[in-house]
Amino acid sequence: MKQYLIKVYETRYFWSHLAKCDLKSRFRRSKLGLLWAVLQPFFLTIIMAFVFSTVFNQPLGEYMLYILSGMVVWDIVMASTVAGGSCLLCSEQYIRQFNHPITIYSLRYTVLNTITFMIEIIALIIWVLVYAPINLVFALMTLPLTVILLFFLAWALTTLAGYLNTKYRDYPQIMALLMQAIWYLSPVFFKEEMFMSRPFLKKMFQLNPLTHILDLIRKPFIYGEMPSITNYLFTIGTIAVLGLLAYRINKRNEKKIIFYL
Amino acid sequence: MEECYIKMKDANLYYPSDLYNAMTLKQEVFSRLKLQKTKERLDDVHALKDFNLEIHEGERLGVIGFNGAGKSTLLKALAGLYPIRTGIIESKGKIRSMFELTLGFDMESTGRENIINRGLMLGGTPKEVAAKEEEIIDFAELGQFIDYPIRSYSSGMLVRLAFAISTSVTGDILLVDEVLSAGDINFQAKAKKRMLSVMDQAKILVLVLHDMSTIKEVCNRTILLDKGRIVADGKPDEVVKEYLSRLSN
Repeated sequence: MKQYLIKVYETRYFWSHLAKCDLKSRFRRSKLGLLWAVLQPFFLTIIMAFVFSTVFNQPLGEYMLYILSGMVVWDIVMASTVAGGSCLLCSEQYIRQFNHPITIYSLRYTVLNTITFMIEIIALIIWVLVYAPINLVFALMTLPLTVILLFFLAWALTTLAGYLNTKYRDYPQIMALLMQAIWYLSPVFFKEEMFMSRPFLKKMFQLNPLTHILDLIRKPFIYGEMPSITNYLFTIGTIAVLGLLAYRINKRNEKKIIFYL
Repeated sequence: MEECYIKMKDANLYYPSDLYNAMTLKQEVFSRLKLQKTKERLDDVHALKDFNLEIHEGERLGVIGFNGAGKSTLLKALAGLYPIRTGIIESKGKIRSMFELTLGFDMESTGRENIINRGLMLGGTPKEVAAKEEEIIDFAELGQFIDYPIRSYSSGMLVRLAFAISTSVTGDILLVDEVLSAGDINFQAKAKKRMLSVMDQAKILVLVLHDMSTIKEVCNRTILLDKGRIVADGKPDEVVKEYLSRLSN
């Protein structure tokens, strides 16, 4: 394990360079460049909040923050599970030439997605500044740890997705469907109250790791309070399970994967 | 000082048949549930058979053989790209491989960006890569085109650039697969010279080549492969003769 991490570290110039190129090419052909990553969720939130608040009669300000925070977290989860599936296939040219650790290719995507996440968070910070500037104290205090946790979550998810997608080429379609189902079961846009109508839904809500991961952002940013211990335990537990799974799958398939590309 | 070496003992390499029996998630689930008949499976391909080979420092090993004999597979196994199922491969020394040179270029980026890209890929630090940049541009004879996206390059320019970058980094153990020719006649002479000097610096060279005269010129030991086994091992002249006699049969 230690040896492995040393190898990952030794190739740092390579994968960080790839991530940098990805970031550049994502915004290459637009004048506003990186600013788009902030503006896009910023304006999308306005549209969505307008629609939702008219249809569901939610008070506008708070619900806007709710949607934006949901969207920002959901973006990194989706980017890791669905889009991240292509991480090994896209790196075929490198895998065929070098026996670097395979996880650096999922790491490359994770770095990119984490940076995108942090940029999108800026949009949230701007809205919080407008609605409840006092919340920023807790928000900025908890943010570093939250980003680190999300980074590891994303790395584990992307690694798993990468292996699955390489072996099963219909993975993205099936996963997109599955994630759609998970979206409906999670408080990404839906508010907590909507899950309380039935005991079953309530249980699902409480056991859903996404509920807790979302709370890591929402509690400080929107409600001005610290995330609970339960929130952290659920998140860390999820990362531990996924991380262990990713570790085992990687160990078993890392050498073989070249034959599947 | 310890010497560089490569040791292969009873190595068996298979290409898993899963590759050709590719399944989708849907098929996997359905066949587990017995809703769908499992496809008839192809056998694994046995590419290297009980392979024994020792290469010591100072050796210039030429690998020859018919198509499909396992030459490239051998190189990729030595490079640590392909896993062996049983047996041992051990090596000491930094391994550098030159297989498909133009693989891994980003067509949208400029030549200069690609130099940095490849340089880092080959394990250099940003400083080392920057130091070699001018020399590479110079050797590849690209002039002002280096700042154009390589999408706009002719195939000759691309090969020249790839060749210049790949040969700018050396290692203790050099694995080369059919990359001696690049560009037009002028460049080819220059390329060969550079290639020979790179090969000279390496402590061990393993060279896969179909050009027998170069094999005789460069190598001091040659092995002939056939169907995943070594069938002849010795002085280049003798082994090439053996190969040619098999060829005429």
